[in-house]
This record gives sequence, structure tokens and C-alpha cells, in this order.
Amino acid sequence: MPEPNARVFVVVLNYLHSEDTLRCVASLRDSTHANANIVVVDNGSPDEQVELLRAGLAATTLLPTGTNLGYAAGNNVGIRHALEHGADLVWILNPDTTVEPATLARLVQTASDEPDAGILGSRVLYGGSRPPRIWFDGGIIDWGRGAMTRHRNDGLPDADVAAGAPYQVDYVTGAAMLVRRQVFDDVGLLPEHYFLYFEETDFNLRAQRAGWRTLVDPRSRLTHHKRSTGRLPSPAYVYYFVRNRIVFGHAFGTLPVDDLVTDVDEWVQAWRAKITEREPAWLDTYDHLVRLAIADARIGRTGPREDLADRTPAA
Amino acid sequence: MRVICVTGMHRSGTSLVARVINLLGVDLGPPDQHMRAGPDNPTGFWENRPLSKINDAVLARLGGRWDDPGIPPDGWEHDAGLDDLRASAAAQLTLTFGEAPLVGFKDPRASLTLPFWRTVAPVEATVLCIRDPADVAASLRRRNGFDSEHAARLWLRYTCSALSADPHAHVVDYGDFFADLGSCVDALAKALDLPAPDAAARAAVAEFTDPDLRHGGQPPPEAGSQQGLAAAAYHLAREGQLPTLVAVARALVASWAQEEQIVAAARDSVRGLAAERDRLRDTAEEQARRSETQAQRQAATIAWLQSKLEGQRRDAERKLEQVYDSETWRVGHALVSGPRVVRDTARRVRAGQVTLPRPKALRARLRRPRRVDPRLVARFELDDDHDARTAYEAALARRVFTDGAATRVAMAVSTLDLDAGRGDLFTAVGLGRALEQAGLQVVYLDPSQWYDPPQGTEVFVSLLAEARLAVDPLRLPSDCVLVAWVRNLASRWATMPTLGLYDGVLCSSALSAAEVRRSYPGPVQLLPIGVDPQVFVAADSTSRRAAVATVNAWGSERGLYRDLRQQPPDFPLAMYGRQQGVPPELRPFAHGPVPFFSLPSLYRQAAVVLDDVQDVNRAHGTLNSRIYESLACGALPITNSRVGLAELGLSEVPSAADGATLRAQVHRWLDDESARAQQVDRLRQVVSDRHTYTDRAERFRAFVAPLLTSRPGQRPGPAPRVAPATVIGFTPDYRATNPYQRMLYRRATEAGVAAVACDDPVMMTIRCARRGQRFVFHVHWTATILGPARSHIEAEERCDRFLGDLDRVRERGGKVVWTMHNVVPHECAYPQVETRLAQGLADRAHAVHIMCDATVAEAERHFTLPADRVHVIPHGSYVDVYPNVVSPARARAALGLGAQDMVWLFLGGIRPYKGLEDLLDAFDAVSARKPATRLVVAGRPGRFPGVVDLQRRCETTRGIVASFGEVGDTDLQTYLNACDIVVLPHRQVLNSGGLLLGLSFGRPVVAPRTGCLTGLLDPAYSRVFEPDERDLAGVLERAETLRGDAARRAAFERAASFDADAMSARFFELVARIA
Repeated sequence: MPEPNARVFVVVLNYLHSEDTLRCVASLRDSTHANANIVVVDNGSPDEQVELLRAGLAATTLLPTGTNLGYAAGNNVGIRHALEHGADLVWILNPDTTVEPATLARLVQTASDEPDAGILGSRVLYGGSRPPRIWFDGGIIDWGRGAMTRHRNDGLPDADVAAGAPYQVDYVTGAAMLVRRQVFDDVGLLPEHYFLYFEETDFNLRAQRAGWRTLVDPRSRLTHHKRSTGRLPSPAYVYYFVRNRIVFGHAFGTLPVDDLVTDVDEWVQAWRAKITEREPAWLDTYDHLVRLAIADARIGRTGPREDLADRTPAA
Repeated sequence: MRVICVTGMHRSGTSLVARVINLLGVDLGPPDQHMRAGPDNPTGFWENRPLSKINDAVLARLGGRWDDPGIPPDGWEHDAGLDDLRASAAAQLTLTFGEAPLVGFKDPRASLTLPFWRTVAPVEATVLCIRDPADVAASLRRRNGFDSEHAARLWLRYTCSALSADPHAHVVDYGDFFADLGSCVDALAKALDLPAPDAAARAAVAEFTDPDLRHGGQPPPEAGSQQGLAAAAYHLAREGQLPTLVAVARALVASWAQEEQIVAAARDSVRGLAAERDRLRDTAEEQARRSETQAQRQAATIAWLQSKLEGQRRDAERKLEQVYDSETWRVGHALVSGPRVVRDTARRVRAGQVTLPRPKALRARLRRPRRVDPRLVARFELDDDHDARTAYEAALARRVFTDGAATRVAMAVSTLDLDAGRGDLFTAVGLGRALEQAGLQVVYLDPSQWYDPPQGTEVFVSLLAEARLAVDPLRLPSDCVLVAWVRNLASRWATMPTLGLYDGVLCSSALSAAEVRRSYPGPVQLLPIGVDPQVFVAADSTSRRAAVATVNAWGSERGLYRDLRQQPPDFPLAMYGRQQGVPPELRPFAHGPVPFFSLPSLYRQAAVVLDDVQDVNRAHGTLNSRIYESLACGALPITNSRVGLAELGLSEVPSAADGATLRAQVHRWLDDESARAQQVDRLRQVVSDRHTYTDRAERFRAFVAPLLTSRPGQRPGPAPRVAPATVIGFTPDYRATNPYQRMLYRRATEAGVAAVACDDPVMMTIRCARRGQRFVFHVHWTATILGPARSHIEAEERCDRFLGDLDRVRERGGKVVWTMHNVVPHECAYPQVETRLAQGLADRAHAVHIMCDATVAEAERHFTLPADRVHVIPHGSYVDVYPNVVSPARARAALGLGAQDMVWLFLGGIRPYKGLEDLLDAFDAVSARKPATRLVVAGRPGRFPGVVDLQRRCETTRGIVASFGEVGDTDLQTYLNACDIVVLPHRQVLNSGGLLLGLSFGRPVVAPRTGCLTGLLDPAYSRVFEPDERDLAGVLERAETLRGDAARRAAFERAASFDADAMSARFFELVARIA
């Protein structure tokens, strides 16, 4: 039974940008919830990045995986370590976030107050936005539009949305997700077959099916310093997002795959219009990636694909 | 061959005399056979080693040794059992001396063994060396650490034995040789009939007899009896009263023999008594078991009688209520009492005792309607479902299992009486009937039958955790799978000491499963209670009204009372249940008991059912069956806790957290029947889809299937237990305050082992053996064994009892493992007994687990470790064992330390052996030179002389931050992360826990080169001092170069290489080998 003084392990998955991870860890070290440990998993970054990390982390556990295992499998390395060392709660945190001193303490208190809440999230703000704006205030799945996911209050000024009591949401973003130990016992670790995108959504829904509530406590806040996404989507984004949205929708929804493909087309066309305008030369590659993603989704192919890197747009 | 023998007590000049007679011409054998000179005898022993070895062997045969010789019976020297030694001795004499005409040998042991040597060779003469017993005692204290009484007793024993064996011995006093060497040598030569020494021989003797080597002049003996006796005997010998001394010697030897006989007889009777005690203990255990069973049977009978009486009382109440309700009674009562009331009132009005109300008020009172809610038009009709009762009675009637492949399940319930209203019985039968329908066989056992389940039981289900109603797994047969069903009281289950012996645990909610998993390593799965779909069925169409609340017995204060007190008198509620405990203000709502089989009829009439989750269950979300049962019958439950509803798909069940909400909810659903019906329909569908016992039976089967291993060809015999095959009972249980045991047992489940705390290893061995489990008794810190002793005798008794228990564990097939945390406890009142205990434990342990090779040498200073049973498993580190999130800057700020200060840390309990005083001295010296130096002292002080001064010194010394109290797990990081270097100023320490703690937080250390620390110290992160180092301040100053990230990283990486998981895995490999 988690108490206000529950033991928390924070799992931070590092990939390439060690300076982000060190900034995140530094902010964690000011947390007022002292019954915590930090575990950094490096997902196969180059050696110099790992060394930078090792030097900066001092006496913090660093678990290098040696190769990029993807979001879920990489985090699972840290989650396993946490569970073996007696974690009551595991906080999965993106490396490009910074937390406030009270963020964790507030979440842990809510976990204590709401014993059947299995997964808890915070209000996440855009980094660098003035005035501060909300990036995530709870995840919503729109089953009527092919399992389309969106963030509650996305883009609204933080000051305009009152931070009241915790409320139930469809899912909590994988960027900052506090998970009760028991949830892992019930539904297993993060699903590894997606490789990128929709793992946390899948995990949230499986937890809910096992009877756990998914809450966001907007009084607990952190900042997501997203890097600039560029003018064009990356090939990995196009491929994994399209494929996994269909895979996820098929796993949890009631619509046939054809309908899911139709629903995802709205997203595909929106990007297509932007590419036509910005980089028409890349359009064929984009269409190919979408076709590949849909074909793979239809035959149930999941996991990583090695042949995406060379499809990066020239721009 | 003439043989001369030099006898006398050790340290009495036998070596000197041997050399003198050697210089007088007596052959002492080849010099290479002589014992080498040592610091305790620099001029040599002049003792022939092979002959001394024979003496040792003779003494050993007689059951003694040089410092503890036994008293042999008369004529022992002729015993045939010594013939082999006799032959060896004869051969050795020939080998040593050949054909030499005049030979001699010296050995203090010969004082005891002279009669034996006389059977080997004719000993012509003996020289008995004597010396002041006080000097001998002083010498033995220096050399062997003997106390004076022991030394005096040995002196008497040697001297008297030698004199008894040769009353004509030539007695020489060691002191005389230094007083008047010439006369002594002349007298010796004359007595032994040797030629008088020439000048050269005299010179050689004089050179050899160095007065500087003489030690003596000890103070007079203390009052000890043996010391007084020895002094008197010495005086007699000095005075030349040899015949008297011989007589005394003989008398003493005879008295010792008698004493020995008495001691031997006493030992025999102690052994006999111990055997008798064991027998009685076994019998008592057996009798206790039988009495317990008998008591449980009687308790069951009493419970049955009580329930029968209760039934009769209920019948009577019901009949009485019918009478009170009848028109006959109302009319009759009024007729009988009316005239009397009128008469009495009139009389009191006349007497002015009563004022009649004024007519207006009287009329108003008469007009006021009786406040009865129109929806509660009548009492509910309770209709016992006879078919259901018959079916449940039939289920309970099964007593034995029939042959066949069906899995055989026994359920341990509190009673078999369906009228007792016990929830566990209805839950068990509900599941059991569904299991029977799925093809399994199920019997139900009341407490008198628990420990004697029917032949062929394969799965034993335990449903109760109440104090006197919990199954003891150790008393059950070994051949059935044992499953706990945690329906409620999760905290109590989780703390049950024997939970580790279950093969699997089923839990009613996710939160209760989480609670159980914290302490239980085996399989845990969800199995909420459910509803019997054949008993709880909705009626086709009924008009529903009002709210009901149902319990078996209302009892003392509960949450629902609080909410109901806030309701008006016309609140449309009927409370059913035994009324004892219902507060008077709620009595108007109470309607007496409702039997289980009448509940469906009640729920078919009620619109709303109030559910009261007790506080003990609220935290774990274990729901009441009432939720399912009311929904199945079409009534809407309103509960008082939302915890646990979501996981069952019942989030839409309304709830009320206080009286006002309850009132609003009840009226909301009573006032809108169509909304209520829709809500119920949705929820009832969830119940019928997911929460019937049919569903639970499937889950139950899936859970037990892997626990049952089928053995083709052996059915219908019961399946063997799967896990745990081995039980580790450990003592003491320090898990709450020290993480070591949690770290060590981390991999128990993977290893197929249940690790449980154990107070009574013998009982546990017996019971595990009965269940076919291997038992390993694992001893950790021994301080708790003798610790409570208030006297030396009690310590001895506790030691004997503990070692006796170990013997009994071993006799019954149990194994013993000892993890050595200390050689002997650091602070113990009875070190000799602790050493005996340690030796006894080492002798009896099947494995002694030490943490590094250096332990063996440390232990050898006190006792002997069995080399073949010693296993080294290094201490795991504390990385991620304790919380570690606080940054050094925050930690320093919390302790008031500056960012640039050089900070030393002393962490942990303050005890004399920890060397804090040395550290304070060193700190004074260092801080005088470098003002920005700080010392943090954190730990709970022990009770020892000077501790108050030590604390005061810390508190008043400039630069010291002191915190005298227990350092909590979460606070460790503050101290460790705030410091630059951890100092372990101990002079003596065996294991490396403190060192590894510092390294685990990436902190360099200053530590002594001792015990297991030695192998862990590396210049990259440590500075070492020798245990006898005087200049600790110098070491601290040299260690300042360790400040910085490189040393921190090196320290942390070294700690991380001692993986606690690997430690646990290796420990269980060891357990597997010995178990």
C-alpha cells in the first residue's frame, strides 16, 4: 500500500542527448520527496555520450543497453531494476523534461490518496513558452476517429486552466508516467512490439482493463523541453506513427482495419499538404513510408525496421 | 640402560634440570629431536619431541590433555588399550638412545604419565622440579592466559602425581639454582649417582644458568583454595617434609579420582535428563496438538449449540413480534391497561403531580401525523429459499472424496452451520458449488477437521486470518497444495508469519494482492469473491421500495451508524441483522436478523441496499458480497468506499461518503425508479458476465493447475507439493532495520525457497519434515542468543539450550547455516560463553557463510572453523538499496555545511570499539590547522561508560555537526551526500558493511587494514591506516587528496561491482548444495 513516503524509482531513458538527461537528473535531485532513487538507462548512445553521462551522474545507477532497444524495451531495463530493488512506484520520465521540487511529492501523495489509481500523470508544460502553455493535461483517445489521440488543454496558457483535484483520463503520456508496482505485476512491463509511439497508450489501457484508474493531477507540474521538430516529419515518425496507430486501434478498438486505415488518412493528408508545399521532392518517399506502414500493420508486422534512416528528406 | 626421568610442573625449571644432567653426562637423545627454543624458553626446552608426542597421545587416551588432564582409574597404566602406545614408546626409546648406557628424558607431562613409562622401561630415578606456584601461575598467565586458580590446580596435579608415582624422587627447587648453583649441581649428581662435575662441566652449567632469565618474586597467592593448597604443598617440599607431602599427594589424587567419578555420574545423569526432557517435549508437543484439536472440536460444538440457541431465540422473537403486531394484542392490551392508565392519571392530576396540556396543544399533538414514509408501507416479507438451503446442505454433507480424476479440494471454514451467518462459509460453498459443477470435488472442514482432511485432498484452501481462526500450515499434511484466499483483512494476512509456507495466494482485489506481494514471494493472483447465480436471482417483476441494510450482526460503532445518525426519523430504511450493539437512536430502523437464504427475497423487494465497507477493508478495496448479491437480485447498492470498484467494472455503483450524500443518493434513486432500474440493469449485466462463482471457479482452476503436478500412473494419489521445496527459518529477524537479510533472501522465490523468521527451529524442523519439506535453520547475529542473560549461569544455560536445539534440528534432518557477521559480538558480557557458543555453532553448522577469507584467521584466534564447511560469499553493496536522490548541495544546506568545507563523516551506532574518540582527537589536530574542516557525527549512541562525555565533546567542539539518534533509511543520503570522505576509525572490524555503504554513495573512505576491509581498499578511493596507527590525523590529511569526482566515481563503481543480486544467487546455490 503506497503511503506518502512510498519508495519511488525514477527511470530516465537516455538516447544521444546526455546533456538533456543530466539536466533532468539535476532537477530531480531537488525533489522534496526524498524516498527515491534515480536509474538512468542508456539506449545505445555513442561511447562519448555514455562517458559524459557517467561522469555527470556520479553515484547514480547507469544501465547501458549497448544498442537502441526502443522506448519500451529501454525503459523496461530500468523498470526491472527498480522492481528488484523494492520500488513501490516507478516514475518513467523523458530525459528532455525538468521537474519542480514538489512534482514528485504531489504525485506520490495522490497515489496514496487514490489507492486504485494505477498510473498517474502530471500537467506537462511546453519548455520555453512565454507565458507557460500546457502541452499535456491528460490523454484523450477518440475512438470515433480511429483511435486518434490528443492532449487535453494542449496549447492553453497554464494560468488560464485551474489546477484542481486529480481527474480520470484515457491515458497518461509516456513522457512522465508514475506507475504503481502492482500494475506491472498485473499487466507486465511496457509492450515492446511497437518500438516507437503508442506503447504507453497500450499500457494505460491494459492497466485500465485490469481495473486500475488512470489519473492526472494538474497540481503536479513539469516541463517538456521538446527539441524543434523541423519543417518535415522524420521517416521514423511517419512510419511508426501510422503503423502503430492502426495496430493499437485494432488491438483495443472495435473497428476493422480498413476503417482504421481510412481514419488515419486525415493525418496522412494533413502532412502531405505540408510536404507538397515545403519539400515536394520528398513526397514519393513519404507516400512510400505511409504505404509501407499500412502494409505492415495489415500483416501484423511490428517491432523496429532498420531501413528507415536512408529515407530522411534532404532538407 | 639406566633411565632418568625429569618431571615437574610446566614452567618449573624442568628444561634447566634436563640440561644440567645432560652436562653431567646423561644422554638426552639426538639434538635434532629436541624441541626448538622459543621466546618463552630461550635457552631451549631440552625436551625430546617424539617422546613428548607419545605423552600427549597417552593423555588423550585418558580423555585429557596437558592443561586439562583427566583422572584415570587405578592401574590405568596396564590397560591393554595402551599397548600400541607402549610398543611405540619402546621402539622410540631404542631409536632415540640406541645402546647408550645412561639416558634421560624430560617432559612435564611425564609427571602424569610416569606409571606408563615404567611399563615400557625401567626408570631408575626421577628428578622432580618444583617452583613457587605463584611464579608458575604468573608465567602461565603470560604464556597461556590461564587464571591463577587453574594454574594452581595444574601445579598440584602435576606435582602430586609425580610424587605419588615416585615417592623417592629427588626434589629440586628452581629458585635454588639461582641462589646456590654449585650445591644444587653437587646434590643432583649425588642423588643420581653421577660422577661429580669437573670444572668444565661446572663452567658450562654456570653459563647456561643465566640469572637474568629467572622470573619470580610474585606476590603471595590470592585466597583461591587451589592456590592456598599449592602454596602449602610447595612449602612442605621446600621444608623437606617429603613423606608428609607424599601422603598429601596421594590423598589429593584419590580425592580427584572421586571428584571425577562424581562429575562423570553427574554428566551421565544430565545426559539422561536431557534425553528425558526431549522425550517429554515431544510428548508434550503431541499432547498439545491433540488437546488443541479436542479444544477446537469442543469450540465447534459450543458454536453449534450457540447457533442453535440463537435460532430458537430468533424464532421466539419472530413469534413475539407477530403477537405484538396482531390486532388481538393491540386491542387486548389497550383494554387491559387503558382503564388503569386513566385511573392513575386522574389521581395524579388531582394530586397536582401532572399538569394536563391545554386543549389547543393537546389537539395539535393529537393531529400530528406519525412520521412514517409512505414508501415503507409494510415490513419486508422474508422468504427462506428452501431449495437453496437444501442445495447448500447437500454440498456440506460430503465427507470423503470418491475415486476419479477430478481435483479434490478441501476448504477450511469457521463453521459448517448455515445458520451461524458466517460469510466465509457462504463464500466457500458458493465457489465450491461452482467447482463441483466444473467437475471438481469439494469438502468443507470446520476447525475440528482442518488438520485431518479427507484422504486424497489435493488442494487445501484457507479462508481465515482472524487471530484464533487461522490455519497453521505446518500442521497440515505435506501432500496437498496449500492456497490462501485473502477475501479481506489483507494486512493481517500479509503479516502472518507462516504465509511463506503457502503454495499460492488468491486475493480479492488488486490492492490486497499488492499488500500480500510485499511479504509473500510465491504466486499471487486475483480472485475476488462473487455471487452464486443460482441463489441470487432477480424476480421478473416486483414493486420495489425503500432501502435496506443487511449484516449478520451489527455490533459496535461502524461507519454506517455515523451516517445514519444524520438522517431524519422517517428515513426510508430497514436495518436487518442481529441487533446487539445497535445504538438506541438507531433502534427504530432495526428489524432483527435475516438468514442468508432470505437475503434474495429481501433484495428482490428493496430498491436500494446500503453497503458498509469496514475501515480495515476499505484500504485494500476488498468488496463485500452484498454488492454482487444485491445487483444480481435487482437492487441498487450504495456503498461508502469507491476503492476497488473500478477494477471490477463496477465504477457506476453509487457511493456516499457522508450522511448528507447518503440521504441525497437514497432519495435520488428512490424517486426515479426508471433511472434506478436502468442503472441496475447495466451493473447486473457486469455481475452476471464477470462476477459469478462460475467465473471464479474457472480462475481458481487455472491458478491451481500449475501448482498441481500430475504424475501419470500414480493417480488417484495426491499430487506432490510444487513449491517451496525448502524452508529457511532465520534468526534473528532484523529485516525491519537492517537491509542485509532482505538483500540476501531476494532470490528466494526463484530458488524455490520460502524464507521465514523462526523462533522455534526444532518445531519447525519437525513440521517441515512432516510436510516433506527440507528445513534449513539459518543463524545470523548471535548477540541475541546470550544477550538477555542476566548472569553467567543464565548465559551458560542459554548457550546449552541453543546448541541443544541445533542438535535436535540436526537429528531430525534439518540443516544449519551460520552467516558470520562477527567473530564474537563486539560487546558481550560473557566472552567465554560467546566463544563456546560460536565453537558449538561452527561444529554443528552444515555451512558457515563468511564474507571474505580473512574471517578464518580472525576466527581462529577464538575458535576453530571447519575448513571444509566454510563458504565465502562477499557482502553485496548498498547501491539502490537505500534512497539516494538528494543532491550534495541540498544535503549540505540541510546540515548547515558550507559548499567549500572539507567534510568528514562518522556514521552509525556509537560504540566503544568504533574509535570515535580517536577520530575526535585527530579532528582536533586537523581542524586546528585547517579551519574550513568539518566533521559530521551521526548515529545512536550506545550505553557505555564515557558516552555522555563523548557526546558533550562532539556538541561543544567547533566544526562538529552532531546528530545523536537513529539514522532513518531516507536520511542516510543526507549525511553521505553531504560529506567528502567517510571515516571508519574502528580498530577492529570484521565485515565491510560500513565501508560498502560509503562506496555505494560514491564516497571515498578512510579505513583500517583489518578483516574483510583489507581486500576492498584501493588507493583510487581510500586511505588506509594500520589498526595500531597512532597518527590518525596524519592519515586524514593525506586522505584530503581523495576529494573530487574521480575518487567518487571509482568508489561507486567498486561498490556497483558487488551486486547484491549475485550475493543472493550464490547464497541459494549454497543452500541447494546442503539442503
